[in-house]
Amino acid sequence: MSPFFTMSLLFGLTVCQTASLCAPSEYIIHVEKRECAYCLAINTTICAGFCMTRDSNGKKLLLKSALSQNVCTYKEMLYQTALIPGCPHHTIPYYSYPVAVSCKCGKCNTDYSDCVNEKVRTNYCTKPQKLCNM
Amino acid sequence: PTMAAFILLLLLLPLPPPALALPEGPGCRLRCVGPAGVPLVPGVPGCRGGAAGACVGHCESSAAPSPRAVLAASRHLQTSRGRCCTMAQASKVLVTLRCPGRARRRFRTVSARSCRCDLCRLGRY
Repeated sequence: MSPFFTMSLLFGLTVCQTASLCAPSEYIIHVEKRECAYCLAINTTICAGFCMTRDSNGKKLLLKSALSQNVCTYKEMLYQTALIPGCPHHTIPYYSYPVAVSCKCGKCNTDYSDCVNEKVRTNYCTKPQKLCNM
Repeated sequence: PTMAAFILLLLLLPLPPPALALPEGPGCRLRCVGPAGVPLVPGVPGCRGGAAGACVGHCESSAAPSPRAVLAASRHLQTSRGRCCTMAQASKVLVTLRCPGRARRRFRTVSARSCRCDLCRLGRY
């Protein structure tokens, strides 16, 4: 094994995290409740981009850690609460949602996150829309 | 020096992912990697002895507030959507490992023939 090859390997091990392109991105979510008269359009920030993934051939030799299945997810976030207009008194009119501050490529944690393969196609309004003024 | 480099390589094996640091941008491609997961001929399909095909690259993903159907069912406030660079076509190959002391070890493994961004699945492992 040549010194050049070893150095290339070490370099790759240390800096390749930077090859991922996962960052906060502007996004509009639409929120409505069955009991409420209006649909709320909220400007927020989500995490989106590209993460390095790997399906290796070393089934018998490599540890599971050699398999990389990282997705673009929240690193730091804060929660905000919006008020859905037109709700009756007996309904809780508040909606809390995460706002991305920073993002990372990491595992999708099923403890607090839903992990799916396909794009969710329910981000639309079926009721008259109002913009959220935060 | 060769033995020291080999031991160093073995120590590095359990490190988490970024061990294969190849592509610089988006794209899920077939790569030729050696038995220790080390790239031999980056970007060139068709492997030399002791190596097989693996799939490496960037796939699109995102994390956003959960839609109402997810909130109603699970109360998870976030939903992550992602795809992984995975083998679309694979074949079984016989690989020979060259070990210290001129010893050789042969084993069967899976070699990728084509790759694509698809469902993140752990089934093969």
